[in-house]
Amino acid sequence: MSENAEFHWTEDEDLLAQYILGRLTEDAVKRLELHLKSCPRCTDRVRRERELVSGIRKYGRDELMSRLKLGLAAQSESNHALMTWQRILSAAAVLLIIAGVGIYNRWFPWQEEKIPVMKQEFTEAQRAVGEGGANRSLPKDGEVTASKQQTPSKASSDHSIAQESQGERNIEPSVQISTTRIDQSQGMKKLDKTMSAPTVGGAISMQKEARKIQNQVMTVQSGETQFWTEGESLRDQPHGLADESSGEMRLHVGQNIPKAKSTAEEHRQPSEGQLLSQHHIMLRQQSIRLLPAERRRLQREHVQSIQAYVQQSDGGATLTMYVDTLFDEDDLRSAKVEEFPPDSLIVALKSLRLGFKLPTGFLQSLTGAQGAEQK
Amino acid sequence: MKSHLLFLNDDARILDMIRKGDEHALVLLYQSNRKMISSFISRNNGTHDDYEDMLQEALVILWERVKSGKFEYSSKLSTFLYATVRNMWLRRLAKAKREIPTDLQSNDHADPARSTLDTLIENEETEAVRNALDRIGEQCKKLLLLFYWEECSLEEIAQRMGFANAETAKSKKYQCKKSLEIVLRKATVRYV
Repeated sequence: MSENAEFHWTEDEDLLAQYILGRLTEDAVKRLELHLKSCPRCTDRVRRERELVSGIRKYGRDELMSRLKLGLAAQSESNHALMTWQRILSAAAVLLIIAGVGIYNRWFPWQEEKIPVMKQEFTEAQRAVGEGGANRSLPKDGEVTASKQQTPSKASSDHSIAQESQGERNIEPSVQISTTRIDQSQGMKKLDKTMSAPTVGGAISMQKEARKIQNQVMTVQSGETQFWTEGESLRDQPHGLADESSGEMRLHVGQNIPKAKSTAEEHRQPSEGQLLSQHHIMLRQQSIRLLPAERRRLQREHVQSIQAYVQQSDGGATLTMYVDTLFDEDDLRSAKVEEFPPDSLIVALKSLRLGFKLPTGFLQSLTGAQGAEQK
Repeated sequence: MKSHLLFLNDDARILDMIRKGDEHALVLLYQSNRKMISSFISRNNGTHDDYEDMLQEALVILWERVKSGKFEYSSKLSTFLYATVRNMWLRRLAKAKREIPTDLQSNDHADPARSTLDTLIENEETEAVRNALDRIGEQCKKLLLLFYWEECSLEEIAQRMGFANAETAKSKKYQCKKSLEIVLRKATVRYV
């Protein structure tokens, strides 16, 4: 006992810690606990040490628990924020898709104001040709008449549907224009005598223009009296038809082209400086929204082109252009129509020259029809 | 490249995170096991708060065991957590004298020798140690926690706390423990 009393192993900090932390062997534990039975001082020391370590551990556990709860709360907030963002992004994606579909289908009113800009550049030489074109096609004052036109009576089924859907709006301005046919073999020579500045380069340019139209891919059948076609901008050609020089030409042409009524007679007896024939081409314009579905699809594929419906009518033809934004009425009124038989047509507006491919022989049929009518 | 990319399964990665002291491992475990634990607790008269407490306690136990080197990976961590929660919950049910479902059989029983007075005294002492730890400074508190709670070796403590060697850590540990005892003596008659 005295030996045990002298040996208070609890005074060894390391040994006491190892005992409390359970790091001793079973034999060592048995030996130390044997001493504890006879040593109240060591027993009390062990008890206090246990309480101390227990308190430290409890402290560490509670601290870890607090941090864990904070971590879970932060994670929950993060997940919530993530879910919120996911919802926002999902909603934004849906809106974008709807907007995209809307833009594609032209649901929005502001899309009506979209103006297709087709800028043209021209050189002086091209301007000369343009002036020639103006000379050829410029009608006499009073021949160009602006009028509100009704839907063509012989429209094809899809075109009729488009027109019917328009309802009261089917009174877009249309312009009836006297046009002249140009005999490319002789017309140029004749035009040379009536114009102040025709050039050889201009003739070549004009032929190129005609070829350009010929090369356009259009699907029209010969012999048809009403059909759809596409107008393409002739970017490399001058407009030159409504510039300041056109006033002089207007006067000049006016001397040679009296009135639409008399064109058939002139056609029968062509004279020097006169054009071969003349008939009416009525220009009309409609909103692109009135296009039949099939043509609207084509229009989307060929955004640079203008869909047009051509219909033979008494004394000529009606060409209805479906445009994003309607042309100015004055612009349409001053438009010039040039024919390039056997199957091409140019509509020259102030800022735009549009080439149309027509069925072969269609232009001749207009004159024929007019001739028959006059007879 | 992060080392955890080389692990073959999630448990190995989680255990590695715990050994390195990354407490985010517990958050990951909580999230991956909460449905299972919630289902168990709710089937046995528990509430949402109960399952949260049980799971968090089980996670702390896992942490302590891994850190002290007493954890043996003999089953999946989810199984360990489920078993721990189940045992703790059964003890709590027994303590509250609630009705225990017949399909549950507990291997652990509350110590019948412990009285309510013992528990109160223990809680008081624990609170006294908590207050004392908050007064001895952050470094001492951390050192004592590492040694007694996480049961780190003196070498590891020296490395983690930037001491020169294990002897320095041992000396520091002794000083900190004495400081804690002094504070406790001042606060409690028991330590006089």
